[in-house]
Amino acid sequence: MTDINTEWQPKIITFLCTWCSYAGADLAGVSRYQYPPNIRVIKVPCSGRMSPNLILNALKGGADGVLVSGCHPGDCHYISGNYFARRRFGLLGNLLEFIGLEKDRVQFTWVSAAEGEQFADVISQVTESVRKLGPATRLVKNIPAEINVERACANE
Amino acid sequence: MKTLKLSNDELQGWLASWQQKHAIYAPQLGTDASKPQFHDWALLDGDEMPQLPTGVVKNSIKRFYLPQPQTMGTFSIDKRQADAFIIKETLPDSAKKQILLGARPCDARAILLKNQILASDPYFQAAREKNIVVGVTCSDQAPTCFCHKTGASPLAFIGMDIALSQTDEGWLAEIITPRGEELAGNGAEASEAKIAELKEKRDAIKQCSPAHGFKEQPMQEMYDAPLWQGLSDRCISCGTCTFLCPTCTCFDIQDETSGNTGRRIRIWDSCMTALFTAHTSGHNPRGTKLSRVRQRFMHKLKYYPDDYGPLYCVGCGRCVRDCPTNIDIREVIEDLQS
Amino acid sequence: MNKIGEHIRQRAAELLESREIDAFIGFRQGSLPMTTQHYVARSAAEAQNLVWNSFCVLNPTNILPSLLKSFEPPRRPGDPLPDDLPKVGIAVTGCWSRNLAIQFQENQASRKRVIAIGLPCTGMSDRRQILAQTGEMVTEVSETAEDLYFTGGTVASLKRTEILRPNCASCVHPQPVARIMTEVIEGDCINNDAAGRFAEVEEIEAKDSDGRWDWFSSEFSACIRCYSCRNACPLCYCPTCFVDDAKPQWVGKGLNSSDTSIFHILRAYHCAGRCTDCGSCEAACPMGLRLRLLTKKLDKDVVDMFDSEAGVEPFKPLPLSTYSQADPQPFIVQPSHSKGEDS
Repeated sequence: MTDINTEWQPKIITFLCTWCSYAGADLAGVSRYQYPPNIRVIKVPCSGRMSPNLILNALKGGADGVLVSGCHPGDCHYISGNYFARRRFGLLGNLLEFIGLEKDRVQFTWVSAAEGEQFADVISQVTESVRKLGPATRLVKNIPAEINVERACANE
Repeated sequence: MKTLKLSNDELQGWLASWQQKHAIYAPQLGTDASKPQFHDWALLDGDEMPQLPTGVVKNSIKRFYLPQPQTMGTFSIDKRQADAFIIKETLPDSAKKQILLGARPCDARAILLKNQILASDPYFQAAREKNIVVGVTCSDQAPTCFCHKTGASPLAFIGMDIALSQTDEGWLAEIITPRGEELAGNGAEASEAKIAELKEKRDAIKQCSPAHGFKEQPMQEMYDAPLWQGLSDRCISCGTCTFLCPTCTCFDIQDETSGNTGRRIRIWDSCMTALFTAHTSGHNPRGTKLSRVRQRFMHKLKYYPDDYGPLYCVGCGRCVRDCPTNIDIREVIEDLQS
Repeated sequence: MNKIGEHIRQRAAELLESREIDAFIGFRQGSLPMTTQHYVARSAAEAQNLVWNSFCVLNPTNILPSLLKSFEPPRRPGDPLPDDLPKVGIAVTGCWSRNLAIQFQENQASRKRVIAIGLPCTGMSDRRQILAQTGEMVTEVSETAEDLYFTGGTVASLKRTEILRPNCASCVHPQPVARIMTEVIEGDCINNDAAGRFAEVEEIEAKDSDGRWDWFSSEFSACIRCYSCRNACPLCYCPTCFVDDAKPQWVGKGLNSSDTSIFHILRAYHCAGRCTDCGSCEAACPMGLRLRLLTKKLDKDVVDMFDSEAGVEPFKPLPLSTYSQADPQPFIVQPSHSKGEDS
């Protein structure tokens, strides 16, 4: 186990669909499954609602990792939201990898409302893989503290 | 004003001594061969005088005077702090000078024209204080250059602290301002003949440069001219012309935050974009593309000259060269005159 | 090329003369050598200004939706459009015709109101690449089927195949989409090997993560955020672009590397499955950024994962507005005990 007080801890933003994955997270808690406390949960109506803007905004704001989770294919509360999402996630993940973002910064998974144990397991996996990558630097926006006419030529 | 005659080696000596004290920015060719090759401003390494292209480089020296973005102030958004949401103004440090080497006469003049509008702007004035312009006059003009048609000259030195002119044997350095004098190193005074020769060249150009404006043309007539329709038909509303333009000065102010700190920034705005002059109410006095295209030309050719005299265009030709749809301000001027 | 130009002028004049169309979208000679301007001819006489050469690089379908709209009478939301609205003619090559197919599908243009003339395309030339070789001082350019000739430059002539735009050099669909063309002008088309069409992308994919990041951050560092790439693109028509949103502000507006990167990622991503690789964005970019590399990568993935190409089948739903239950999902994180079961 890592020492939570001294070691660097990744911050991971998770977007959970309200019908399956959020309930799955709830079940993990109720069932007292242990998982790392590195995730911050944001509830979304459906994984199909996930705009790439949200994922990139999380990265820009300094998230070390992003995880999006929805219902298993075929189980979507809105019939097909996660099917559309799956196509988008595939392309977005590949594009982010293509521009040089580390592979495990942005991850996708399916967790149903009955899979509390699996939720805990996925969170452990994701946290460990992001921990291995270290703090995020790429795409993170740092507002420079000082004024930089000196750097006026080179962009920030 | 004194004029010095420099060999290439002597100029290199000057640059070497400047490098000790100041940052020098100069137009340089990109080093990455896989990318499109063009000259742009970059920090100068070493004391070699860079090879300048004919005409202007990609970006104007505007970015040294109006940085993109300019931080105007910083603030905290941490509500536990007593000074939360109070903006602390930050002025650029003008004591540390930097040298803009190889600025063309059009760029140097543009800063003076801008100064009319930004005379009481502390950020711009601090940047003027900070930047020392060591310009290089143009012996040739590129096909897109037309400074001689805007009341300027490719051999002009206004707005520069030191003006360098290339000759067969080396350089003639005209020391124009006290700041330039401080900066200039040793060199032999140029001979009377050389100075006369340069003056002659200069006069020759001035004679064929009609500094025409549109002062006599009635504003309403220009405003209602039919040509704006055709221009706006093909304008794609990008900001290329305004962002590359050395004189364009319009800005937008935005606040941005990260974590608990934030800053207020001033960024370039462009009259080509739909958000330009949009009001919070939703009303926009320039709601159509036509009115925005017209605004750019009217500001440069009519509104500014009416207020301050010269055209607000220095003829660098950057907008002509890089406009995706080839909107050519020279054609617009001709059309308006006829 | 001259023959095609003649044909376009003649057909546009006939269509305008007979009042079958009210306007024709094409190109006019620009004020500088190697430039052209979008041009809307509204009469048979104006149609004589139309030109066709290897510098017609800005996608003309870009101005089609707004031109069609300009003929519509003012009406309240929900009110039906009159049936007999004026038609617009447009001459399109392979990539532009596929843009047209997408505009029809996305209801940006009505098929009933567009007379599309298909052109054979031998590829367009890259003005910047030429200027890099000839110098800026070129005053005149003429062309034959194989060569370009320059007056005033440091080079007298160049082979057209050597200075093709990269998107034309890797184009595998130069033929207009016949099913949505009103008429097609026959002629020779560029013939590229389909095997190497994604070579530019593969070159970058072969780098490691750090190498790709170095490439990406240096490639886009020169961006001045003028948005000419967005505005030159026929796919971009949102009333409010995400970069103009203020609350929430998805992208900051200054020249910050993170903001610029995110703008380019999202711009490209919005074109996923819709981009026809027409090269309009690169032609418009004043800084010469290779914007297409991002959209081409998405193209490649869409072909690989969903076996779909933008506009090639004009009546098939666009890849991101449909799905298949069998779509690949190797990127999904699996709980550890189920690993290996699900592939």
